[in-house]
Amino acid sequence: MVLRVIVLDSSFLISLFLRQDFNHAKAMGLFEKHRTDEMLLTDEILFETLSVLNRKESMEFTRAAYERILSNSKLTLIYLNENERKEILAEFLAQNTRLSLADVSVVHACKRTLSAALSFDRHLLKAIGN
Amino acid sequence: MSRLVNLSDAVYEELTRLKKAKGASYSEVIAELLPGSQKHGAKTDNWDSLIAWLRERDRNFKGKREKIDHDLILYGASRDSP
Repeated sequence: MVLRVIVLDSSFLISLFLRQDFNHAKAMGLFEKHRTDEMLLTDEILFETLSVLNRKESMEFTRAAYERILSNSKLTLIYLNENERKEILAEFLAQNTRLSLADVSVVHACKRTLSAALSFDRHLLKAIGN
Repeated sequence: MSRLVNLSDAVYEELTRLKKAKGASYSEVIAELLPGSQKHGAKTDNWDSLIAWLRERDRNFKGKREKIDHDLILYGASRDSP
């Protein structure tokens, strides 16, 4: 059986929103391919993405992007609770790779919900098993 | 880049059972496995409007493409901009 739920990663979202990004066209193509899918986003990834968008574009653009992501019923935003943050920190400290805490939150969400990820980070995809 | 997960029949049946029992979507059922999840004021139910907005922005872009090391994104710290 196949379940279409996708966890979004900052590398993908940043490429999607930044038109100057080398992977922008690729991100647009992937997003269109998954346009009917339900998507999950962790607060860690949202914060990271918004920070980069503000740095690379503007606060006005960042606000518009934020509104457009979160106004969609296909998206579920996951606010990690204290226990999950502890689990993610433990997973982060136990890793033998160089994933960030935000990356580990994506791996955690994928494994916990049996979902796939949209990402351009090869280390993250490898950790998920994509 | 992405992958659709092949679930075992048992997991799929359980998710479908919960979905039907709650009258919810798969993502809502799954999100309950992560207690902090929530939906914000949903105004649209597909990604078409976001795609159209991004396409409109792309139309006027005449800048230079930029290669970014996605393995090093840490709250923008590694992405120095001029």
